[in-house]
Amino acid sequence: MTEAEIKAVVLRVLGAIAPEADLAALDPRISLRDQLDVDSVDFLNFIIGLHKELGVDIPDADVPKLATISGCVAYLASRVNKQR
Amino acid sequence: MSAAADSPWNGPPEFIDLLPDEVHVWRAPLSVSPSQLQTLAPILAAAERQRAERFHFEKDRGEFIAGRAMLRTLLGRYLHREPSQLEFNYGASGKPRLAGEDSSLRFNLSHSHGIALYAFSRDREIGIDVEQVRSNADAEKIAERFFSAQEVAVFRDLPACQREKAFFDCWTRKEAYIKAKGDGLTAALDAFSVSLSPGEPAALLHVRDDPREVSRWSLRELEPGPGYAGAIIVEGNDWRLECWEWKWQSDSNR
Repeated sequence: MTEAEIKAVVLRVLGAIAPEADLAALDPRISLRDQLDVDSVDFLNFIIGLHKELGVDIPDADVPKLATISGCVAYLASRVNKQR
Repeated sequence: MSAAADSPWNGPPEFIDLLPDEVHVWRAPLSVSPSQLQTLAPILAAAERQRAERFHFEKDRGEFIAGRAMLRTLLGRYLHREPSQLEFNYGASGKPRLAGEDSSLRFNLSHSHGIALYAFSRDREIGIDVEQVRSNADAEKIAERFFSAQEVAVFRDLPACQREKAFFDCWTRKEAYIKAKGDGLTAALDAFSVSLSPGEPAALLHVRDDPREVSRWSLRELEPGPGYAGAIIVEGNDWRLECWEWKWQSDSNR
């Protein structure tokens, strides 16, 4: 998968937990929790959603790498393309 | 959010004194008027105001400002300090602490969808969590992925109608514990177990790598209001809980 394809998946999953947000307007380098009112259960839903969509196992220790959209894309790209 | 006759949330006393065997929890609504926001924003540090500007929605920006102003106001009361002069530093997981303060005061806070809880103690580590209970959480999948084997077994045995409440009770208890420890979501969430069966008191039941943890902490359920679940965990068991409700009414209230 390309990074653009992975980003599209990340935004789709994010859209499920923040349906009202204009996702294209989010700064990919700033923490999602600093831009959207997402609580911890929302964030767990986000991780579960990424796992469902991409089939990537995300260890607890790697969760901080998913704090931003850029971080998600970089991390997931390395994991997806390693698994395939 | 008016307090019902049997609500645990009371109006606060005029003067706040936090004794060593007391734990204080404050509940505050985060929705405030634009004029109140104008009054509250100057209480925040410049970095906090910059952080507020990053929020996508005006509503979230306002709630962040109200939440921070509330934290500073309460800390200022306990410490007899000017709220705007307080400085924080943050642990690896983001847990805030007072910077440069030689104080016995410990605090923790949590917010979820319009409501905030603030907890204060003396010389006792403390963790608090509130979550809005809602049906769009993928409770089954989250439980399987993040709960301990013991918790998953209890969760699966519950009738479907009890699972939503049990899920949020379990999660708020787990998150209160990892916050008290200063860990974030990087903690091994399946390495410890809390109670979650309806009617069973909130308790830390088992910690895989350190069984002494169970007697170190005491965990209690909170009632943040209809549609919310909450929990608090505090070091020791010789403390009593006082729950107070903050009302944004007038400038004289601050």
